[in-house]
Amino acid sequence: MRGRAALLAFLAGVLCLFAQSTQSRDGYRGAYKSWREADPALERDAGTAGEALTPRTAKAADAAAAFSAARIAFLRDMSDRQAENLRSLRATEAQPLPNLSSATDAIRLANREIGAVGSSASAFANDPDPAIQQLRQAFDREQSALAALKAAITARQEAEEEASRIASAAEQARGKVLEQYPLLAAALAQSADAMRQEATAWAGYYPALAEASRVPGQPVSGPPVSNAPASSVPVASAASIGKADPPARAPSITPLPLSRYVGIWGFQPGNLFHGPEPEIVDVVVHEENGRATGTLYARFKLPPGSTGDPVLRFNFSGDFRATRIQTFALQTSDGAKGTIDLIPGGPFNVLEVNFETEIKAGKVHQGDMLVVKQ
Amino acid sequence: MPGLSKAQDSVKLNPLIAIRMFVIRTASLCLLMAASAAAQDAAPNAAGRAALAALEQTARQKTAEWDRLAQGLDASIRGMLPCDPKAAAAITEVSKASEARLAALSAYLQEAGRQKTLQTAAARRMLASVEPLGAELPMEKLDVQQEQLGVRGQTAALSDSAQRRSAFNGAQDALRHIASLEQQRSDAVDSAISHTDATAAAVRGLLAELEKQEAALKETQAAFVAEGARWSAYYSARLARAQTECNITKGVIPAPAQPRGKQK
Repeated sequence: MRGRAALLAFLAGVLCLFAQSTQSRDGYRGAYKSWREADPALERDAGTAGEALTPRTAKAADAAAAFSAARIAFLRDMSDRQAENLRSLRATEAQPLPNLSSATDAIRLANREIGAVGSSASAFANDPDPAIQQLRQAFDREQSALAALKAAITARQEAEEEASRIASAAEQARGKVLEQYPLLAAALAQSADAMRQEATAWAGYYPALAEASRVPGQPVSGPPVSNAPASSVPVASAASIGKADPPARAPSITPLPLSRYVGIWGFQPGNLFHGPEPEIVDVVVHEENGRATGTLYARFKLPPGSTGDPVLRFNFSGDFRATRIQTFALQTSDGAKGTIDLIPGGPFNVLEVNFETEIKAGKVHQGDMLVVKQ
Repeated sequence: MPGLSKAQDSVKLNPLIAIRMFVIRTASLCLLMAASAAAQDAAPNAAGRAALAALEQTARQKTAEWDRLAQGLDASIRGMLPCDPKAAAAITEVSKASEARLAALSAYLQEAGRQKTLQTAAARRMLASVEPLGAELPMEKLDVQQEQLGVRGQTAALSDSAQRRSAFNGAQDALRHIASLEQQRSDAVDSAISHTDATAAAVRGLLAELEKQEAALKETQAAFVAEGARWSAYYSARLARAQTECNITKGVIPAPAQPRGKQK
């Protein structure tokens, strides 16, 4: 129950990433401190505490999940801001102005008029008739207006040419940013992505630690470092190591060992798949009292131009059954329901994951891929 | 109130359901907020581009109309008598077409300028988000190092405690996997640090060019306004000449303008 609560709390934190504007380091630093200070002797006591370790690991898992959610939120925020900048930069070119009104044509028109007016005016140049003098003055005013117009068109042409030159320089500057920015943004995205995988790994670590602690064990030699009473520590001779039988545990419910299903699994490039091509798939499967709980996070390579969501997250749970293929009910982070089949592969460290969910617009709703134990 | 108590009990008895409800509500709210923010970001770009395209089309259309009238003006009035009212009407029509063209060009340049201002502001915001990384990323590196130290401590403690018991293999493998992911983060931070200065310098360069472009656009707009005034002055002079030609034909001779030198 605590594990689930932690997982849900983690999920809630992650879901809010998109809506958060600026994350502070204080949030995850506080969560980290709480986690690290909560039970610093957990691993030290793991070899001896037995069943008593379970509630302690659950508490640590909660704290780790809280830290992971805050840490992912911070890194995603940092990464998303740069990714958004990059998208915006790619979308806006520093385009020069279109040639909406040709200055060359306008100057040609002005020159033609200047020529026509000039030749008409010169025809009346020496005519003493007062009426013709009036007309001559009208021609002069028109000629002056045309000269001023030509100068204005030329000035506008120069302004346009300068704007065009600057636009070209701005576009070159944009190109330089586009050479650098993706490297920075990719590094930050990679950091956020690794943290997300780390969160999944932490979610698998504590249950594995609790499970291991429950198995009676035989230390190699010397007294174990532990806070637990000495009488509770099983002691074995060094000679028995290597000869000892595998740790005793309850018989598996499933026809194959539970370890063929339980653990942290990941998709690797080149793995077989059917349906949309996965880019990342992380699957974590826990078992407690014959019941499975797990999470799947996947990012798929969508066809170019697709506006769909490449990311799929869901939780699944159900009882293990005495069948090779284990089928569990799932629910995605946006509420779609479905089922997941876990099918042990030929090699012991390979698992086939086959899922199908209700169809939701823009969401991946089925997938089938081989994942490898991490 | 019994009903209320029952409701509270129900929540207390089903914390998982309550958490699920919280998660679903939080998720819905967050996704709505994210969608809204994304839409707000995308909307000005798309709307701006559409507006500019429409204004460009109008400007081209008005320019073509003016061009057709201006090029044909002389030919159309050449055969007319000096006092033919169609001559004055033709000049007025070209003048109005010129004003319409310049108004359309001005509207286009105004919108282009507005979008350039937004683009410059975006570059400024970009710089404001890149420059602090110079100080942020070394802090990030320190935090990752501290986290790595924590995992190393857990690994060492578990190694002592587990005493090579196979039951702990899974937990130890998980810690090794975590350590490798932390190393990936550390490497990613190193990579980001190595690209921050060059990116910031490139963004600064872009911002400077965009500011120049914004200023150049304003100057172009001013040049079009000045040109518009000159076109109006020219068409007024052209109309005045036509009026003078008409007056002469009618025998109405306006008083000659006094040469400036003789005014005193």
